[in-house]
Amino acid sequence: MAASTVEPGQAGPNAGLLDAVRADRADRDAAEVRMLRHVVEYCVAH
Amino acid sequence: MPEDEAATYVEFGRDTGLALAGVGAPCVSEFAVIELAAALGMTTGACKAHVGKVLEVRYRLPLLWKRVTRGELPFWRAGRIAEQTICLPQLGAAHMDRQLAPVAHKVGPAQTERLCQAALDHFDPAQAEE
Repeated sequence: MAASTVEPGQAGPNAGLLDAVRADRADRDAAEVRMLRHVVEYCVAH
Repeated sequence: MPEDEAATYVEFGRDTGLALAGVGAPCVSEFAVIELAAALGMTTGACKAHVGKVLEVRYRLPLLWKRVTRGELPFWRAGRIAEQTICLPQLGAAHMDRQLAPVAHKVGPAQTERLCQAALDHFDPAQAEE
């Protein structure tokens, strides 16, 4: 089976999926920071 | 459990709080940790360790905390450093924070341990000897 080749910098057929993965990761990181802040607030309140 | 063997004692209906992070970080009610553990789906022991790291980073490693909240540093890296600094006095933790904050995204556990031991030797030689 011939492998499809994409030159670096060119948008491949799955570029949209990679963008979605990046967006998911950014969402997850932001959620983690929010949760850390909430844990701190909860602990300080108790 | 007999009252005199408890880690915290109840006073006026509230427990006195657990010191889960180093000196200077706030203590946390044991009841609150139990409730938080349930909310996070963790065991109480795992939650104590997690809260200890979170509070250590927030209150004693403020430069690392800033990088975490800016999204520059994954919390697991800051937490791994926090595990090492909990035993340090406040000045030692502040020293570690200044040393490691700029490189925390790439520093390894062995290097952190060496720096921590050096900080303990310098800032608390009595404990370092033990």
